[in-house]
Amino acid sequence: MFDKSYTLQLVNKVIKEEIIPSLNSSVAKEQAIAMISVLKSVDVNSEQNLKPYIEVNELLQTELTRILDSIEKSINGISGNIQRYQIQLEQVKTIKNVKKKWEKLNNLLSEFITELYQMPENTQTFIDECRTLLRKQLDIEMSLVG
Amino acid sequence: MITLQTHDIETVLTNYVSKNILNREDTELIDFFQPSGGWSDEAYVFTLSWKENAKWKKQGFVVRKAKNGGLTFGEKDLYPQYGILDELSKHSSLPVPKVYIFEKNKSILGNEFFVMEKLEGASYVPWSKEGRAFFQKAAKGDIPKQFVRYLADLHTLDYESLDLSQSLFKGSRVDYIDFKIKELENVYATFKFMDDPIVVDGIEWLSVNKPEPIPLSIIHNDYRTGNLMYKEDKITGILDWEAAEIGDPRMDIAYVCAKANRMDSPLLSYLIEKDTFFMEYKERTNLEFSEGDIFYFEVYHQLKFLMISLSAANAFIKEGSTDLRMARQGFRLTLMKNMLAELLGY
Repeated sequence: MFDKSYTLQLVNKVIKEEIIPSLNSSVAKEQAIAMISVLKSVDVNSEQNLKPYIEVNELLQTELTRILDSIEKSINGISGNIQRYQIQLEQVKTIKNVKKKWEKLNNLLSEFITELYQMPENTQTFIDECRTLLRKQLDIEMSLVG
Repeated sequence: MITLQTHDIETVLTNYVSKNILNREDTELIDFFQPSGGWSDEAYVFTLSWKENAKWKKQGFVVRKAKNGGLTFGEKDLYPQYGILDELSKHSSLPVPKVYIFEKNKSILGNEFFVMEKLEGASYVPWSKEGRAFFQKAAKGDIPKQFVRYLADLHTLDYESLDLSQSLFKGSRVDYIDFKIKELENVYATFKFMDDPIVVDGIEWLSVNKPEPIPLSIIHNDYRTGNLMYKEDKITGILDWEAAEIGDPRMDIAYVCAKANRMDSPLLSYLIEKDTFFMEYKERTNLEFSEGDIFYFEVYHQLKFLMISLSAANAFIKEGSTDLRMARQGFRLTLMKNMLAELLGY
């Protein structure tokens, strides 16, 4: 989700430039001025919550590996494409940066889902497997919504 | 871009309307307010009064102005909205405001705008405390019937007899749905931060599950209880025509059914039971559709809601918008994805 410091700095900008000038109560103004200071302190005293991203990365790596292995065994004639995804997945696994890895895994899964829809074979079972995986991913990422 | 303070806007609009619509100089501004909201357009509501034959007269006006940096979904053009209101107010019995003038000169108010009639009545945010109380009461009266009737009247209007802007036409009967999917794909490509597998799943699902095409009609594309005006037991206005187009009428029906427009209410759009809505609509239009067709367009709408959140996130992060509603909507992107996933059964 959005960068914590960027978000708090923008909120402070809005309080300072748009909210405070339109306040008529001196008590409310005093509170809003204090809020800017408090939010600055909250920013420097806290860290971006990366835990859900780490969880999602572990989930996607494990489950995508399993789905790709499963589809390789089930559908003949498309092993070339599947191997391409398997190679890409192994490359993504080596990325250290949590957010970058999360993005790459989502890109890979998106590309794979597009391919499943476009395959001439009946791939509904695998689309369903991807959806089960997406549900697990959503359940983790929903913890980032306030 | 010029930035006007509220007092300047009051003066500019009083002078503009007096000169260009009322053709007089002796008017007085008796009230003025800017409604909150306005994600993509801004509105100003005001009343002018003047003395004529020793009697005071007054008239209400609404100005709709294109907003810089607001939410966008496709091309932003205010003129088609003006055009459709002009045609519908003259050639239909629908309660839409009469329009007076379209102003292209951006130097007057900072952007293009048009002036229209101020209709009687009030509008309500359906999920607010006041809105919930109003619709709970309204659901027991005649408003639900009017809600269906106006939608059916719109869809059965002979649009080919009207002088409508070409930009309202989004493809033919056969390729309208393809056009709409392409439009979603373009918005996604413009605003995405990275590829999102849930969005991809939704778009691919739309591509392989297209229903059979049906004849097109004028569609509102944002027909919900919050965009209507009410006075006592009557709908007095249908507002917010910015997304109207010549399209598949099932799009509007699905919008009425969309979960985002009823949330926890058992009634569609907080107003009417699903079976009653379908039965009365079909009786009035003779249009046949299946639940599956409507489900298809519900998925489309949920994807569109998701794109709006994506567009908001983009405005917040990439354009540095100081409208904090953009940040809030951007943070809700995951909620929108969750609603799409639930709709698709996972």
